[in-house]
Amino acid sequence: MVVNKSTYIDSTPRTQGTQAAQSTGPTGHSLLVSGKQLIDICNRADFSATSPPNRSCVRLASRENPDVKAKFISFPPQPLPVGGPTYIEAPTQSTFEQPDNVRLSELSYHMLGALMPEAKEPASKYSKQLHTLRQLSAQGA
Amino acid sequence: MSEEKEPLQQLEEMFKTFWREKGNPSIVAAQHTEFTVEPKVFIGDKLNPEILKLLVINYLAQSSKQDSGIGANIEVTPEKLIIKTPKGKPLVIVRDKKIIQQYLEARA
Repeated sequence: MVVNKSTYIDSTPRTQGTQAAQSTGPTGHSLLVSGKQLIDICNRADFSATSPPNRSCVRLASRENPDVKAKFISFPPQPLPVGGPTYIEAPTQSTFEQPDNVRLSELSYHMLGALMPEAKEPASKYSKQLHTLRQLSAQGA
Repeated sequence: MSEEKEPLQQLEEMFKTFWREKGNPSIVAAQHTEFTVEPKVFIGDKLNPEILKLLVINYLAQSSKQDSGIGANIEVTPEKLIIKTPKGKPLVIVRDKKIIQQYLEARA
């Protein structure tokens, strides 16, 4: 299975510093951008961003758009330009394999539920939802 | 009154919380904004392998604790570690040698 290299980016207003908190405001707006758009934004960004080496480097023009919020950025399968943003590459499926017959609800119930017991309820509900949908689908077929 | 979220959305939120608490999210500091870079939670009908890895590591760490009841659901060989449901259905197959080694050492 080919896994798209995807990165979820969520902007969090700074909580430290009054000036920063005022400039970002309590709520932001969402912006859906593609990998190319992100690269364009980064290339146009006119501010100095500090980012740890070897980490994902996303520079958005926060000076112009202090409330900008980027979500679900999927990089296209093409080489990124030198100096452009990098991304955290997900481990390959072969190292951590989810068998095809395993549902998210099962995985969530047993594994996340073991660590966060409150996850069991939505996992169980989701499983029931899927079961109902399958039944309805079978009746309609 | 706020609408109750769909179970899948609730699960997504919980995975995000889990990632923020247990993972090592990258913080990118811009001049007026900070960005937390996180993986997308679900890719198709699968859990993002990056989150799955974190989940497996924490699950195995939890299994080493007494009374967790998890250890019985793990089958391990030097090449492969299988995490199963209590009924024996494989949930995840791990072939990461380092993680298997760490698990075997913790169990010894």
